[in-house]
Amino acid sequence: MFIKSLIKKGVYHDSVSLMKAAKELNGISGVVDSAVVMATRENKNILKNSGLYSAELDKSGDSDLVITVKAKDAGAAQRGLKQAEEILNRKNPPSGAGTAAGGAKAKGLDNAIGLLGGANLAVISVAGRFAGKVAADCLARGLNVMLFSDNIPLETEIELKKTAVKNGLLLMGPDCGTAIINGAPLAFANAVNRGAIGIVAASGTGLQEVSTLISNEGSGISQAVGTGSRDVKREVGALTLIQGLKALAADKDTALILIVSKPPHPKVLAKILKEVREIKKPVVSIMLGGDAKLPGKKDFYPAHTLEEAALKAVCLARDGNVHKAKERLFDINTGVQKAAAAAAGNKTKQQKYLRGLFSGGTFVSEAQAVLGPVLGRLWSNAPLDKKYKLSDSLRLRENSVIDMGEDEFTVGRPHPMIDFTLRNKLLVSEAAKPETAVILLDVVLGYGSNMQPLEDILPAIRAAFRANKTLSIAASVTSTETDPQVRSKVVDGLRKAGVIVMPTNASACRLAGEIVRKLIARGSGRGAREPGN
Amino acid sequence: MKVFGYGDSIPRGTFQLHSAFENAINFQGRKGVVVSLVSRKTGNGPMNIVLKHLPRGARRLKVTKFKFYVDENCLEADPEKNYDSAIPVLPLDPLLFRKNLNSLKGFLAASAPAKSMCFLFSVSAEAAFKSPFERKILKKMKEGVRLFETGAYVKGARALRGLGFGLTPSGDDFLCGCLTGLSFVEACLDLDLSEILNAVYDNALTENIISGSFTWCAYNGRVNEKTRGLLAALAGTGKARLLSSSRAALKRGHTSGADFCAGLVYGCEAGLRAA
Repeated sequence: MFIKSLIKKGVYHDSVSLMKAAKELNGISGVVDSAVVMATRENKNILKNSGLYSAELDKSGDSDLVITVKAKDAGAAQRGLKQAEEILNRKNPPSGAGTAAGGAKAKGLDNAIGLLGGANLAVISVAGRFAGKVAADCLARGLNVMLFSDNIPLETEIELKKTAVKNGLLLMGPDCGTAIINGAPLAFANAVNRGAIGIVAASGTGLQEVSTLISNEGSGISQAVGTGSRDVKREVGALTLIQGLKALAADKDTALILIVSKPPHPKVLAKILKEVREIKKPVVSIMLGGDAKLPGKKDFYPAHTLEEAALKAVCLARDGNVHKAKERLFDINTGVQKAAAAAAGNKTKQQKYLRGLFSGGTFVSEAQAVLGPVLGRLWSNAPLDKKYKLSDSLRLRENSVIDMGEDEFTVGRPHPMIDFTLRNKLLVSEAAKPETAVILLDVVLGYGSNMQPLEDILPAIRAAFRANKTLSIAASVTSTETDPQVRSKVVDGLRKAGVIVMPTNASACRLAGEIVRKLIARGSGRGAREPGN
Repeated sequence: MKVFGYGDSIPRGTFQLHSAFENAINFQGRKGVVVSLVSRKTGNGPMNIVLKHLPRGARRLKVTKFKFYVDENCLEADPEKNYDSAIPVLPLDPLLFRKNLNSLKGFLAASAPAKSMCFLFSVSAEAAFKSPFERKILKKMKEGVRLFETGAYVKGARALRGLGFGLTPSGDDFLCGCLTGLSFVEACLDLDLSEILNAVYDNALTENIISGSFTWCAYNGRVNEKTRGLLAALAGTGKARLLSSSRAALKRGHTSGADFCAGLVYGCEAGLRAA
């Protein structure tokens, strides 16, 4: 008789699978006896008494699984062991500290591609120092890539993108946190309607804002391609953005293209506009803090805010009448004026500043673009004008807007879109300051974000209002009704708590700016800017 | 993630993924504590957090006074959803109770899955133990239970712990059931069965932390929803209720539910003998 044993450490199969494996094992030709049991002392004693024990089982413990086979020949014993493993891995893959049930565990990229036949996109989220190689391996195997990882050298990014372009593949990233491909939200993204508007964005939060606005206005997204935060830098040359534009231009389901970006390097902007000129579909463009003009192309529509860009896209997609976007913006602004008049009326003489606490970096840029002309000097940890960089991001001064998604806040801590703890603390401490008139917030929801936003933020909001009874809190909620958090629930909850919820980040910023402007005018008797500007 | 309920024995701390199955994801903390995220199918238990959808891929669980953190996701611990896992203290008529225990034995004999310890109630069920190894397991189980029946609780527990099939071996589940039965009788009849409880518990533990967690709960009189229902039915008069709660109690693992019920019967009978 031949006895062969296998010890499986740190993997756990449910009892049904173990029983099934044991039953099938005993049915194998040539197998005289077998056992599939946990290697407890008592079971091992039985194995010894049954003649199923081999010396290697000395090393096994209570939490280990033992498969042992007694057969007429060595071949049958080996086959038995192999079959037992296959049976266990078959329907119910093992689970342990390194895996979780519900997903196949692959032993490498080729194995993963084999397990999921037909996959053509890899989403990569590994430490930056490994991510470049993993992305290169994926591209070499003909996969498009969404590279969520950051901390990848710029040179590596350029190489990867050149390889992707050469092979007709898309490389979204590095630091690409949002995309919507064929209706599937990837990483931090929202459940939006499908439709005819294609988006290519060098900004995750920007993509979320425009896609949710488009969806909430009744229109929909064909594809949303993320490019990564450095794509429009001079060195990278907008390789992914241009690829995205080409793909959307050729896509039969895309009737209109929306570009979302921070201001590219001028040479890169020229490249992008050259590509846009060739596109035979309408193009809406928002380059926050910058300006893109394309004289000679009739169906090119620049915008100054994400809100304006989204509304223009919706109106164009609906009936080609872009002027209706102005009407919609007018309605929103009427709401802003009304809310500002009501909110500014009850402030104390000391209250004069706004404090913006943002989780999305693009919203900080948009806040500066909207508030700069109204309020002048605006301090930030991510300022558009380096003159106004806060020396300490936690010590806000005058009118300030901070990006709490910056590295200084997120090292060793979940992103503020997931964990509101730090922002809540700041919300309460800023509210308690007598000079704070209005606090500005963004609440970005969808997949990957905080699934219990109200439960997490409301206690802080209530505490803020207790600390400052004449405080105003203005917020926008980037979300849709079909997001897991359900937009209307969150909006209602915030409103009930006294927050002024505006339909967009830009309008929330305008509201906050208008409140402060009214307070300045009240104080100085003029509608002037802050001194020093 | 919506929390439907959470057990009252969940300690605070940080727990790492131990194992994950269709209806439960187990997290291990210090000193072998196991807290589980479970589906509604599994239901409330002393160390369970019941969720609508189990977060596949979850790696870490953190428990604070008012919140649960599953990786980066924060779940509110609403006090109204706290599950009271204390063994129910009910008026217990010993005659009626014995009658119901006999009914349960009959049900287990007819309905328990093959190779569970419910062969104790049906000789024909022994036929399911076919291979030489299985026959040896059967023999050892019978020996262990015989020791238990004769009051040799220490030897009986040692013979049964870690014995048998399944991720939580049959012997471990049987001993859990025993401890639960003893705790129930002790509480309802206001007895002191600590000597038997300690004898069993002190000799029931192995290094299998999942078994260990269940055993600890049983020793401390903490039960899950299905067991609560079964105990209430055993103390009551409703036949239909006894039948439905027995069926529900079988639905754990492959033989775990049945092994537990077998042990529950033996624990209750041991408690009644002591009374």
